[in-house]
Amino acid sequence: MSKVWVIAKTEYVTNIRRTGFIIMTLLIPFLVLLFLLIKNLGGAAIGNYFESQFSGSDKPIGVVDGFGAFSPILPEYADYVLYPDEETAIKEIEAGKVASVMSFPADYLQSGRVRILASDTTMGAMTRLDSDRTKAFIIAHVLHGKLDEATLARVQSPFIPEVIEVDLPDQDGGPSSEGQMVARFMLPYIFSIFLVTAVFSSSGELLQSVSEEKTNRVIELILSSVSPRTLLTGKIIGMGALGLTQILIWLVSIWLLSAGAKKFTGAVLPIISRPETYVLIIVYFLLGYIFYAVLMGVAGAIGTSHQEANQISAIFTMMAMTPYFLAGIILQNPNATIVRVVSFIPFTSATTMLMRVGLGKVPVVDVIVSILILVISIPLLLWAGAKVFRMGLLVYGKRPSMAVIWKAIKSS
Amino acid sequence: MPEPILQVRDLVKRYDQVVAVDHLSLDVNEGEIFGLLGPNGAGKTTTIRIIMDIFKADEGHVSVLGRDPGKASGLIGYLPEERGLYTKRKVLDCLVYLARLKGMSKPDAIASAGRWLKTLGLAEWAQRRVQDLSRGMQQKIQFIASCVHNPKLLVLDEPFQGLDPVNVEVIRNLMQQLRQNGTTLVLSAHEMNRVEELCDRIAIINHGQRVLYGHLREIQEQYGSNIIRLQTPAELGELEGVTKVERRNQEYLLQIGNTDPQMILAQLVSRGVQIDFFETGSAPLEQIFINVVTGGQQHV
Repeated sequence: MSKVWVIAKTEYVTNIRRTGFIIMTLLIPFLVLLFLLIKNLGGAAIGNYFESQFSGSDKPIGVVDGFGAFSPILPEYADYVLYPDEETAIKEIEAGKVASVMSFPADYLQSGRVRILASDTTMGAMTRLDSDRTKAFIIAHVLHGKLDEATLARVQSPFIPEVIEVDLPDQDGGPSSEGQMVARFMLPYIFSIFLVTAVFSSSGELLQSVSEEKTNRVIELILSSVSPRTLLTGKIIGMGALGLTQILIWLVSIWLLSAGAKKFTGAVLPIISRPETYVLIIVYFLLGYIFYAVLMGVAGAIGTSHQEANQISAIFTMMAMTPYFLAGIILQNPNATIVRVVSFIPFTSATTMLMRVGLGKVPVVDVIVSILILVISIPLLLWAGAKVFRMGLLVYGKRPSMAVIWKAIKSS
Repeated sequence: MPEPILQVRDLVKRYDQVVAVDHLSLDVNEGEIFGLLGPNGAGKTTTIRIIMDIFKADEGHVSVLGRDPGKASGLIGYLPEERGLYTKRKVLDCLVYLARLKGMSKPDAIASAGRWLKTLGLAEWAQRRVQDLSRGMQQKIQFIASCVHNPKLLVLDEPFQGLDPVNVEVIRNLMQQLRQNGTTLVLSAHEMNRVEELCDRIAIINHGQRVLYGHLREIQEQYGSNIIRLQTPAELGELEGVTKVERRNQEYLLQIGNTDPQMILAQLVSRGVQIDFFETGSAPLEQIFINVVTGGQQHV
């Protein structure tokens, strides 16, 4: 057993000094710090930036007033421009001075219909016309002089959400504009991607390590000292500890930075608001890592060179990358049926769940079932993987066929 | 007689249809240098890998110091034919790691690796990366890696392969030194002159079977203690008292049974044959090896 620790410790110590690992590990605290700085210095600037990325043009919106309520435009709506008729408005669109024009007919009050003249009819441009701002603009003009200021303000903006995280009373969400919602959502998303990447990179290190020993032929010397099972176990523990170190540095730095930021600036970090998420992240990281580590160890053992080992491992990486492909769906609805199904397949479970957990609340059933599936499948995989690992290590020059691999699994 | 340090009994290993090792048995006694010889593909490396517990035998049994090979790994050292080290690690780290995988404690491993590096004049390279060393130095490091944990039994698979004459001398001296210190060595090599110099006993295997086995001197005597090597540009013709003639270019190997070598020389001189070289002795191992492997002789 002590040899397992010698191997694990050596792998850990050798790899923790690697430049790639250090950069990757420091990237998350750096990004978080950067986010806090921007947020603190520029207020809602970052949120507004994201919003502008989503809403497209910042050109004024034209108005043609056949109805009569919009002449003149109230001074607080400087981003709306009045045109006498549609012909003039079209010329202005052609000249590129406005993005779109709303033309209110005389019977607007009865019909509610508004003609939209626009060169850009993409969703981003249309979303802007359908925004809270445009609604407030119309309400302000139609009801001008008929209501007191306070009532008007409420009609325009019936509620301003103030999100309070009930299960974590000491951390308030603060007023959340649309821009901040986007930011709230981007940072956890980026963090989720990093979590999945951490699984890849740790298991990828294992692949490199095995493949290196095989390519430089040191493996024969190693196997004269320890059994393949001891070697694989030692490597899995060493690299797993490495990945865990990375994740822990991330989690602790996020926790410290967000606590510090809240204390000194009042800014709230939109990543990981629930403490159980920290635990789940570590659980899924470990389960996912072990699962892929065995697959990568096997790929390293049966590949005859780094290159070939990488090709074999690419098959497993593609499986693990499923949540990336489903990112669109996961972002919109982390609990969509297809996402749940993928969470229950061992090859994709851990990475998908890491992403879902990073993004928000996940049904307890999904958590229990996915963990159970992983806990059951990992020993099976280890059992079969160790055999193929042993067989693959000493075959130089020729990659074993599927038939040979199957024979190795069946042999006692 | 004490128990042999290594016992191989009826060992069989098959790959698909090919029988790589075919009911091989041999003993290696404590303190000797044992030569495991044979042509390429004879099954030497497979046998060694089974002794090292890298491969499992299909049949038969190996015991090292009375234990299963897997349980004795700390007592065995191994220089594989396929050389390899952690090229990116520091020399000392690499040696200490390999020694610890053999069960040595960290302080002992550091001390032992340091001693060996000093012995081979590589002490100042301890903190350099393996890849920064010359090929010759790497080969020395590889040798240290096989015996840094002070094994009782050291298995060397082609230790002279790819070495320049200076390093061959270094390794040869080390082997003799190790033996004097009580280490038993198993040597697999193709350099028959080295084997003759170093080995006490040998086994020659061919197609996975043992075809010759025993004390080197006895084998050589069996193959003719009365052998004459001579060089001449002339044709020899019939010589009285010579039982067998083998010729390679200008060199002849004559088996003379009980005849006095002087009588052969006298015959040649009387015929006026030009003689460049004349030597009496026992059969050279190389000749025995070639005979045995090409089927020139039957099992002994």
